[in-house]
Amino acid sequence: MSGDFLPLAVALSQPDRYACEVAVLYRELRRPLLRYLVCLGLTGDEAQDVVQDTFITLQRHVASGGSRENIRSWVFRVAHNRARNRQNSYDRRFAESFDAEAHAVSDRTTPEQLVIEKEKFRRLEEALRSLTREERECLSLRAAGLRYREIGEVLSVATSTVADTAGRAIKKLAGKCNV
Amino acid sequence: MCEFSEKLMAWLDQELPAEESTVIDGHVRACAECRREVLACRELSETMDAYCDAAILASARSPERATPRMVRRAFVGTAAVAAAVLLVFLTVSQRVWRMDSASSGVLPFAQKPPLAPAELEKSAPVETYGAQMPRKIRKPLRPLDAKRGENPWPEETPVYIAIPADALFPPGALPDGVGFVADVSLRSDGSAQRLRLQPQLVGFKRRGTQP
Repeated sequence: MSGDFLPLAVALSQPDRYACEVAVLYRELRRPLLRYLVCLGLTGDEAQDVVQDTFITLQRHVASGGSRENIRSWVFRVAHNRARNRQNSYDRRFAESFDAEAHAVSDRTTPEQLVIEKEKFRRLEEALRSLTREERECLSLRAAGLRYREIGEVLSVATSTVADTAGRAIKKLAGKCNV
Repeated sequence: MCEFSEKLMAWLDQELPAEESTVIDGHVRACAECRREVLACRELSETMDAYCDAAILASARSPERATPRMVRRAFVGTAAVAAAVLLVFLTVSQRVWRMDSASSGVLPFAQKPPLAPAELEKSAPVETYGAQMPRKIRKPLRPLDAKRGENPWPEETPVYIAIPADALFPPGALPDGVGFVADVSLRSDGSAQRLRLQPQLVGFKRRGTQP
């Protein structure tokens, strides 16, 4: 339910067309952004913080007549830069594993399934630590649903580089996770 | 290793040109090694999705699961937000009143609040996440004279919350580009220990994240 709220007081108090544009983008991009930031190693709270800051920046960008071209890439790039600015958390790289058992999503999950899931996550965390920053960023942006062209725009690299990096990263992960 | 191995990820992500994609379609049907690799990619993608979802959920614990410490923190946070909103409102109102009185004699802004208190509460960005989302506490705003990495107030637990002033007032009530940052420090019993308002140009202190 909370995901339906736009956490921008500016938009809530001034429901003009700019705020509406931001609201639409927020509904579309909030979850992918959170997913990306968590994949980078930010905690959930930090990710929420970065997402909110990002959309405040977006509102100002839109209200000041900024370009709407490739706006998805623009939003991710702002979030990406903000995440990078949080160097301490960014390089923490999953230092504190969360307890999957304590956060079971489904009531149907059995204890055995939880153990398996926990082990999967542990191996994934280990594997993600072994990736370079570029590989992890590339894979995380892909997991957030961005196209290779958009990933290239966020990371300022060529689309072909994105394809190579993503392919290399997923193979490393597969090797480490024994998939 | 199969010669098509390098392209499988892009093929899976539908990033290849149609012609090349068709070629790999046919190859994957015939090549057991590539099929295994594709399945591995899919499984890893799903695991990453599940991992991210679980991590996001982990940060959005329901209130029933909150520990006593978390409940205390939430209370202090809520109190700080309320104090900050009130303080920003009163201070800016007085400031506008002084300006108005001195220049034109128009009724002071404080005598005709633009929003009801309930609406003001709704307007606070921290609160709009709702009860199910984690309370947001922004990282402390480092004082200008503090050294990097140094806790300027080691003897207390400060709470700093920045609320965009333009979120609280109707258009025109404040000059363009002007905002306020309210620094609120609370004692452990929730009472205010230090309250400070800093006028700020919007975006002036923000990091350079504009692409």
